[in-house]
Amino acid sequence: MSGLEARGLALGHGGRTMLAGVDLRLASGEMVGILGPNGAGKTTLLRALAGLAPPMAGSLALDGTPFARIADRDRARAIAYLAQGAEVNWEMTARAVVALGRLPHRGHPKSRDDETAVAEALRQADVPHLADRSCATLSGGERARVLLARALAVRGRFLLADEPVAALDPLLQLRTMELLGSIARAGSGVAVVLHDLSLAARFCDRIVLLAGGRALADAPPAVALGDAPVAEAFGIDVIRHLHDGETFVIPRRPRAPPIARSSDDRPSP
Amino acid sequence: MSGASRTVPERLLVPALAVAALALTAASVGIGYAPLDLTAAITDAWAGRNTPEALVLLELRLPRAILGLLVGMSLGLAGAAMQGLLRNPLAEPGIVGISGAAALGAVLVFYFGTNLTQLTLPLGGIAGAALATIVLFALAGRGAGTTTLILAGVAINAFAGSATALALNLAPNPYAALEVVFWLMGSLADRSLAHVWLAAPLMAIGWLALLAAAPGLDALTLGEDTATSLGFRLSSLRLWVITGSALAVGTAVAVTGAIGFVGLVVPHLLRRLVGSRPGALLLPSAFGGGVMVLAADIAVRTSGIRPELKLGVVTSIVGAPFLFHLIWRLRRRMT
Repeated sequence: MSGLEARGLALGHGGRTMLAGVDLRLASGEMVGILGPNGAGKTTLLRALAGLAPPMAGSLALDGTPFARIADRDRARAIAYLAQGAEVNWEMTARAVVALGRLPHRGHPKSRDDETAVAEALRQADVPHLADRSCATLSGGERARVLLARALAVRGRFLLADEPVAALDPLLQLRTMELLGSIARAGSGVAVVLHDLSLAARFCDRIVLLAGGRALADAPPAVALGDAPVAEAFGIDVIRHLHDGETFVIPRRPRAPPIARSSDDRPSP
Repeated sequence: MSGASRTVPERLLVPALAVAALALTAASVGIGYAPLDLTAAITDAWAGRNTPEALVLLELRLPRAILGLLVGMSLGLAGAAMQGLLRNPLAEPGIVGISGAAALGAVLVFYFGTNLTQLTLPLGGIAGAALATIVLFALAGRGAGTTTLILAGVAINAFAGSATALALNLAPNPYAALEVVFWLMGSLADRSLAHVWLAAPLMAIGWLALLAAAPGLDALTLGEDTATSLGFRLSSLRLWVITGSALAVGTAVAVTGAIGFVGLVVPHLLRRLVGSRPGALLLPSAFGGGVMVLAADIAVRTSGIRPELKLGVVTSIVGAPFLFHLIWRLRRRMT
């Protein structure tokens, strides 16, 4: 059984259920979008797939081997994880940050490839010109691209990216989605958390739609982002626009009556 | 803090600092209150002759110089590692309470000890550091986060500080209290080779633990989730850094008393030269710490101020302005 697989995944935090029985299989060469409203469990699912959060119930396996039987370093070489936000605690250069992606490979025969991998990751993420700049002096978008390059430098067989386009302008959003797509076509399995329905519909092979910790749909975009599942997950109506064979899904208006949302998302009075 | 243009290759800086530390160790042997014919002393000591020259070298000069190097390296290395672990340039080895507890252990020996040998005092300090480490992990738990660790350290520091004050308060006579206060100020004077033999192995194990943590500290730069995704267990990383610091710094405090600011200032100064990658800062900070403590110890002996200034007082007086400077920089960056 090849691929990264979660079965019946359940996770909670502080008495609150974050995921309740989610199945997901990420195969090599495919790009899966993980979508859902705030608090749906997208980040929790991605963290679990990366081995960062041990599940309360269910199983996680890499190529059929349970996570518990895989050494941390082997898992780290196979699965690259790009965290949400852009945390860089020290004022390191972009190149030094990207090189951190090679840490799981230290002492490994291939470690001589480190410089090549770093240079290629910088190039893929379109940031070689920033290599010697301190991360403290970069804009939010530049920093996001450098951190994407850091994840690419791992050269994992799977790439899990949590909202990689959140801080980016429209051009860089498109470039990033194209890059992730090309990485999937080159043979890696890519899972990406997104909020943009159009980007998901256009670039992902499959969509896992989460709401309230459950998967409402796990299907190609045309099915998973259909009117009914989108209305159920997000409580919105969408406009669908077909252009050059690609579907653009644009949020139009909230459905009335407004759905009850989890207390975390309620604005403070 | 670290532009690429200012980054000195590690392979140049570490040897340079190591040579400087060894040169200052040699200089420290050459400096003292009693006039000493070094050549005669070394020849006599080598031949095993118990001449006054050989005794001054073996019992006074050499222990002081070697301990200066060892203590400085321990403080610098542990400071850099602790800053990396807590991801905060204001962290220093004492923040988790181990130094305070080591000082308390030694003070309790002062207080209750009746039949003191020269090693009873440092052994008390080491016991204090060991106990504090156990309490720290018991309080914070193995999976503790950074905040819990710091809070546990604050609690241990508060307890150790108040218990030390209590011991001073209840001191049988002013002279005993004064003796404790002077010891707490930190000094390399009047230590023997027995102190070196006691401290060196414990410190060396501590250094190895801290150096082994380097890749994990690098990964932690990008946050706990990313570090875990890169194959590091945070609980193990914390265990290595805190146990290593306890061994290195706990022993340092037990042998010499509290020598402040070295662990804070040295990594801060070197970060401008080596860049901010925490793992790359460890070895330079170790040798830098050795340089700072040895230079300060040479200064107290050559300054001409008598009675001799305590080493901890000098490092703090020199170190405090750097802390002001650091806070000033941080504030400017935030506004």
